[in-house]
Amino acid sequence: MRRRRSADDGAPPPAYSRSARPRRAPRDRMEPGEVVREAWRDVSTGVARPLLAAGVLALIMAMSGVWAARGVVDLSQEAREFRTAGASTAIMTMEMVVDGAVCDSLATYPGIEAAGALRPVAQGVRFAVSPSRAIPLFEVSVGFIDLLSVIGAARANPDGGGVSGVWLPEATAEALGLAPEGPWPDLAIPAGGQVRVAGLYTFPEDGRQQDLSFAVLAPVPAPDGLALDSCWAELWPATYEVSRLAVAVEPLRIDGSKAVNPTFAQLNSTLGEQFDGPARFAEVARAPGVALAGAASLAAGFVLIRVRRLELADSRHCGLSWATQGWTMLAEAACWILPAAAVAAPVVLIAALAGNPEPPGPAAAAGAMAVVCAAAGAAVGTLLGTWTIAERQLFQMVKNR
Amino acid sequence: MHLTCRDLVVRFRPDVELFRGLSFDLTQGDLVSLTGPSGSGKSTLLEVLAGWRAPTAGTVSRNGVVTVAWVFQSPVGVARRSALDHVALPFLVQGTRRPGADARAAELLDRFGLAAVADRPFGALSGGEAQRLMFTRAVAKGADLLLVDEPTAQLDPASAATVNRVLGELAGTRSIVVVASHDLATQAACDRTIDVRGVPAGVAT
Ligand SMILES: Nc1ncnc2c1ncn2[C@@H]1O[C@H](COP(=O)(O)OP(=O)(O)OP(=O)(O)O)[C@@H](O)[C@H]1O
Ligand SMILES: [Mg+2]
Repeated sequence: MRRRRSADDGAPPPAYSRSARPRRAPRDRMEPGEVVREAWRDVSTGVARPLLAAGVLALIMAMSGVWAARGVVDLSQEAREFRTAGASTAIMTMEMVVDGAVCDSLATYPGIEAAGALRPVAQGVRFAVSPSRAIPLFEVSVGFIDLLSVIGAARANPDGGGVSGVWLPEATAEALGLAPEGPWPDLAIPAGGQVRVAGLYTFPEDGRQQDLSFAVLAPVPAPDGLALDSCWAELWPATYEVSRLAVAVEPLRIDGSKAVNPTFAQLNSTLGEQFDGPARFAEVARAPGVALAGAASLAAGFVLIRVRRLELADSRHCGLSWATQGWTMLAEAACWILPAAAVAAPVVLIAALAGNPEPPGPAAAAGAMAVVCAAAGAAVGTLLGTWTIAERQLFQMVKNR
Repeated sequence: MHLTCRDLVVRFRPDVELFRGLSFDLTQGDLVSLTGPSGSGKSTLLEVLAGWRAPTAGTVSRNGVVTVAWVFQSPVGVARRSALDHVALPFLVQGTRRPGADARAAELLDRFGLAAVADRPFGALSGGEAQRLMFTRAVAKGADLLLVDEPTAQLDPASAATVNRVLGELAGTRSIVVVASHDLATQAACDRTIDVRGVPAGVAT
């Protein structure tokens, strides 16, 4: 017994007091290693209810993590839909005065992902397969094919077509007897000779202007001053501002065409005019799921301590300090928080990957945030619960049973 | 080590006045029982002695009393932890490493006739065994003041007898032991009896 006893053995007695409490008992001197070992015994014997706790927390983590990750994935899908439908594509039209090369170079502007120009050719084109039928023909700048890869899922002829040939929408290709799968053979023209098929694109009836849904696009190299009719530009993020485009339009004009006024149009206006990706992402990142996960797991941690309040108050009665008990409970909580996170993490990762048109990083980060919040909430709830335990409650609790 | 009470009164409501100016002195090695009918304030007096409740009037002074241990009517423990673990905890808290704590706990369990159940989970102990475990642990704590409230109230006579035997062994140790009990056998195991109604034991019945 190496306890201090101050007033014993001949020392003068201290002043008497009416409500004297016992002086503070000696501080607990439990070794850190023993704290960990005690915690592990509570876990391995099931006293800390590790399976129940891990199960509940894993559920909270998985649900909130999936919710957060899917918020980002859904946003990415919506954004991808908006862009592929042509809702983010602006069309600037000035007949016969658009400089094709300048239009292509708009793609180097920040906020413009792709740009290209085109002009209809009056006569159209006929192929030997159906010589009686003229198909609308458009001359397009090289940049226009890049634009088609965004709005038309353009795919090149596996037979090495490149740009040295014509691009066809799928409906036209079908009418000409071409299978949807490549490679596509050259097309004969009635006057004799062959036309290479450079690739196909899709141009669904999803609300977009349908001019290019049945057509033949012939890329032409764009020397300075090639005069085309309209310049298409894909703007991302699609915070559509006419003023922004108007600045881009000035240099598009071929010299001496100041008199021609541009008209602006959205390729597809059925999905709304704007899509502010960054703002929407910030909104999704603040998902209520994250706060909810924190609150739910805090409650879980708290309750799991409170149901043990009798035995915990009893340990305090054995001299355990609140700090040592807090560390013990945290060590026990780690034994179910970490496994719960390990179970939830792959679920959240799958949610971040499934159907995500973008790299999974941001969606996984949003999910991870929820998991981390839940883990922190459980730890804080555990500590709060331990903080409410007091030795003095033991008597009351025993009385009330 | 002394515990001195002078002119104690605890009043809950104007009409509930306990102890009527009770005075007594306790010293190291004392083993006393508190008697009185139900509702006379035995449990309340234990609370006052523990310092958990201030008396309405009178003084309590503790000279050298630092650690207090309780033993309740119903034993408190962790159902799935072993009897040994329960007794080892106070030693661990005092800074002893697990092997030393286990050895000292085993020694105490043996002294109180619990060696055979040392490895049994608390939840699997009989009522008498669990109650004796509570005494064993109170001794492990090295408490200066041991407050015991109705230790045999929930036990059959045979188990109660084993508990009273353990209680008797605490006489003359370095602790002050105060036992509140209706049980005559428990009272008999103690050296002295204090009637909490503030009248000499035996005068009022
Ligand atoms: N917190 C309290 N508030 C009000 N009255 C109380 C309180 N605690 C105890 N009492 C009253 O004080 C009296 C003494 O209670 P106590 O529990 O000390 O009696 P006891 O002698 O231990 O009884 P028993 O033998 O039944 O255990 C009772 O009348 C009880 O109702
Ligand atoms: Mg009582």
